[in-house]
Amino acid sequence: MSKEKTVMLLSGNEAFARGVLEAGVDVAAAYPGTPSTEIMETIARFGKETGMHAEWSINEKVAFEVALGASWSGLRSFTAAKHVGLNVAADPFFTATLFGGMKGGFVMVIADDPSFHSSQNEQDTRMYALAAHAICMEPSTPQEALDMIKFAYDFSEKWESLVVLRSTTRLSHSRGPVELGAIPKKESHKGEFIKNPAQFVCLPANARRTKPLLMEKLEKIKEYSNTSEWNVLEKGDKSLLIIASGVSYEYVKDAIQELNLKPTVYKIGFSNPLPEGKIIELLKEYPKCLIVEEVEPYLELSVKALAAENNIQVQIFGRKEKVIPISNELNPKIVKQAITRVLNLKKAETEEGSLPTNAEINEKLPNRPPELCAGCPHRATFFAIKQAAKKRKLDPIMPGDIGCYTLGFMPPLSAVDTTVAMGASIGIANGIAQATNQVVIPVIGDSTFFHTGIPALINAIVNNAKFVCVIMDNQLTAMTGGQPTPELGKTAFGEPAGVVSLEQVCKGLGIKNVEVVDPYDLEKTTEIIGKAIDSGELSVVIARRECALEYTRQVKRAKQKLDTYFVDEDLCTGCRICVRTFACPAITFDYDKKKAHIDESMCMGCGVCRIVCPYDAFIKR
Amino acid sequence: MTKLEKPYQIEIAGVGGTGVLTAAMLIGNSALLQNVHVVQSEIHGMAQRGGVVNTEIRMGPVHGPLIPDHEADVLLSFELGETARAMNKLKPKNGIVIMNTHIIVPPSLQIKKGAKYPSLEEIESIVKQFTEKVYLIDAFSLAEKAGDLRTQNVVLVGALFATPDFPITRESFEKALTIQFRKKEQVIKANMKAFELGYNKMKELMK
Ligand SMILES: Cc1ncc(C[n+]2csc(CCOP(=O)(O)OP(=O)(O)O)c2C)c(N)n1
Ligand code: SF4
Ligand code: SF4
Repeated sequence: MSKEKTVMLLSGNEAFARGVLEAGVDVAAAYPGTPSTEIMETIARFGKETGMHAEWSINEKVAFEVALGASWSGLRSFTAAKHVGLNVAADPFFTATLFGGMKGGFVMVIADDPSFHSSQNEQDTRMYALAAHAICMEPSTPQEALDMIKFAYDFSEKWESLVVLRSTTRLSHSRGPVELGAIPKKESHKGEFIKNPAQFVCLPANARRTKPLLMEKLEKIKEYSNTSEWNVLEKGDKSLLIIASGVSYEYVKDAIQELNLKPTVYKIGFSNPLPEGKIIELLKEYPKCLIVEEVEPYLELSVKALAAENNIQVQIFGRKEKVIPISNELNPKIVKQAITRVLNLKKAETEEGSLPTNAEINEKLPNRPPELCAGCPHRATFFAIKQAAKKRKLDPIMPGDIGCYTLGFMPPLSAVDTTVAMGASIGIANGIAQATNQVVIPVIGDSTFFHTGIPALINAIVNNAKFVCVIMDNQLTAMTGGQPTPELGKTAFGEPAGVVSLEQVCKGLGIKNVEVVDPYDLEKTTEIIGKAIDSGELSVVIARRECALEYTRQVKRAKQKLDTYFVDEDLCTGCRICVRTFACPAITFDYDKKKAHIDESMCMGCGVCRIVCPYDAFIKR
Repeated sequence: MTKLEKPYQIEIAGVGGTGVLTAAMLIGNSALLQNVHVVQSEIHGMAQRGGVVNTEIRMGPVHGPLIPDHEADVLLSFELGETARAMNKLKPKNGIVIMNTHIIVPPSLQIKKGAKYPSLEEIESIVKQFTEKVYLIDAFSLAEKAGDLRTQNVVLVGALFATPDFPITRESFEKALTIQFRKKEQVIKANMKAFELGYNKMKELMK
């Protein structure tokens, strides 16, 4: 009897995680970040049974180093991050790829975010791989995500090198059927770090010796790339050669099916080093070549260079020729248009022309930006800062950071003046404090403070920068789905762990003015922040209150009721102060009645509106 | 794999917290249980804070996870205004629109004095420029009838399964539902009821 195959509808991220489990990985470490978060979340859900160690690390650099240390100790190790996470881990990444020595396989998934769905930029991880001489692969489907990870572990061990898998949002957050393999049964086991300073100590002398060895190794891997099963040639007619990678390859398949064409398609799954020999061979056979890839012209630049070096007469089309747009993610329509243009085909007649466009429709609809939740403690903290400043007729500069509280930049709060990178609020506050006489109030979340905020705060102490740092402590990493922070004392598997206290850290650094407040106590919070401003000293105010979304979930799970509020219409004067200045999404304004109204299905009962309203019209139910 | 002759594609439009992702999982798993090839895509960057959430489900001979513009067979909309925003995905003329009459007013609208949410008529007039096949479902009331307001999403999934030529059977849906909510008898019961109500409502509207 043949065994029944198990096929599940998995997201790319779930498939990566499954691949990690099937590869028998021993140590996995990551810091969350969209669109990569669910990889580690899935490992944390199912990994415990395998006897592995899984952790949410404090930032991407530490996560990378955890995995590197484990790999150098002979265990299979893993890390994942969003594209900008690799910036944080870039320093050890460059050196680790140079020195190699991965005794246990070391695979890292980096998820890029074309179209900026939830990121500040669109950087392309393949460019990093090229610069660091790292092996890089690009899966196209969830099934490939799983299969490639398993392959990558064997490959990493064979060459004692790190393997980078590049994902994109449309792979990480897409689902497709995935055939599962077995998860090996193993006892929890330990590796052994065998000392070898020549390999693991990156002194210039060692580096000088290692670099040529790395380049030699890459030459050999390039030979492999030419015949790799991950670089697939689909022979079609002689009109056009399309080279594509990642999810863009799937769009190519959709486009040629719809256009009813049969060009030759070369799918690149092994993207660094590229299969140069094979590409040269192919370029000679076709009059035209179209390159389809996400974000940067990574394949395009290499293919063009190969054609030029080898004097091959072929017309190559990509971003440079504006056949593919220079920004934002691709889709089947863009690819279809590109093929049509390159082959000078007539555009098919469509009726789309007479229909209203997206832009025209959007004009008639209200925007729907993401908002801070009803009862979010961040809203109360921002409100308190604004109140304290207003009382003093100040307009403080508020460098912000990355987390739910970034949304505080929206009106009516308009309380975030800069956001750059995680931890940058305090760094930039240092600069503004040194450069101006303005009052500076950086705001930063708890997770972000631990991630990269602490060094900048130390910097302020030792350079006499004066500002009021407000740490918005909602007791978890809310923006990415609620991962634990060091204050929680919980591992990724939910087991008890050591605790780090924010106030102890700040006091331990030697900062004298450290206060902890509850933002729901709006009056007290306003007063404390005001005092900190008046002191003119470097101060820290920790605004501590659990994330309202998490609180609501817990109350509902326990089948208890929330203490919601309602508007006493006799007391409400219709002044609109609540919606104009505070804007809790549970509060609406009825223009016919000229009264505020609370949607009690949204209200979680924080009671802050009660203090915001000058007429005490908000009443607890 | 069961072969579909041509692709069948569903665009789901909604708002964070309205059960878009669960609905998509249920539809996708129903297809898989019938051995129909399925791929789907979702964008849920900051969904928990009330932004737009869309998912796309593609069945049959398809490759990538995105529905090309103007090719969705059905637009299933979980919120009135969001229907209009997703119209460009629908096949003009022949596409079917199933839209929830329930509205979720974006809080940012409150700040502007006197700003109003578009009316049902305004939204309908946009939608009808694309297709005549527009079906309004009051999923809120039907979910209330099913005994659980959270089943609005499944009311709409029920309506989807009642469309002509829909390639997946009710039986597959029921199986997918039982797998998804393993052991939660109450939840399964309410959702079965919600599905039934949505299914019957759609049949009635199409008569
Ligand atoms: C280098 C980097 N890593 C990860 C992320 C993804 N990310 C955005 S906000 C955030 C954490 C926010 O947590 P916290 O500071 O506690 O604020 P909260 O969302 O809880 O309010 C993360 C991990 C990022 N933007 N940049
Ligand atoms: S998830 Fe939590 S921290 Fe984020 S906006 Fe909602 S209540 Fe605030
Ligand atoms: S108590 Fe007031 S401020 Fe708090 S969630 Fe309810 S309506 Fe919003």
